[in-house]
Amino acid sequence: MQEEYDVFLLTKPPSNPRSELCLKLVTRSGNARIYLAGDGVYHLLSGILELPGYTVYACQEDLKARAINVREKVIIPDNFYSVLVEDMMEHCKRAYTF
Amino acid sequence: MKSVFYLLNTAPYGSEKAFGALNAAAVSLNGMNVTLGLYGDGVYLAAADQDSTNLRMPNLSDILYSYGELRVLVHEPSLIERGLFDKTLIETIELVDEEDFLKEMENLDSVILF
Repeated sequence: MQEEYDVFLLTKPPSNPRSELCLKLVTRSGNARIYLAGDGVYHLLSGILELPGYTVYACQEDLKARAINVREKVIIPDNFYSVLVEDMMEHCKRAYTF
Repeated sequence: MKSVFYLLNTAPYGSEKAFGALNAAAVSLNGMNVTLGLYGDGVYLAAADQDSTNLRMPNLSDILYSYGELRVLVHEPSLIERGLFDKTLIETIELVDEEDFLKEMENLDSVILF
């Protein structure tokens, strides 16, 4: 039986109310993968990595554009969107986009 | 000489507002006293070493560098709140506290929000 988890795509900066709602659902999920793209990558500067219980992915192009060079505890795939789509298609119990 | 304060409170690259504010400020330099204020998520624009090549978008920090005469104020509390205080920032910016930031807005002829 393949493992399943909730997949979250977050594109809003930390101060945005949608980010707040997303992180509430992530905490409730207990088994989540978060994909940070666009302004969502700013979450790497705001302590998202400290929270337990999920894996964080980030889009390389968006990190570079915004001069964010956090590399520990975050997965930065070469082909972010392919990895995201595969996760959504193959291992996903529920998918959320914010 | 008239003076104008442009306020940006949106993060760069995620929307066009930062690009628009920079262009408006640059054009206004010709004949006006111009200040660009970075507030809230707008302070993300102050990060040095931006590289937007792979996004095929203009590099906004390059625009800031190319207009050295543009005065850029950064709201310090917003910067601290977003974990940017120990990051490398663009050298031409001025870090100001809440009181000075508000005073600047009050002292200029007009304030334009983006």
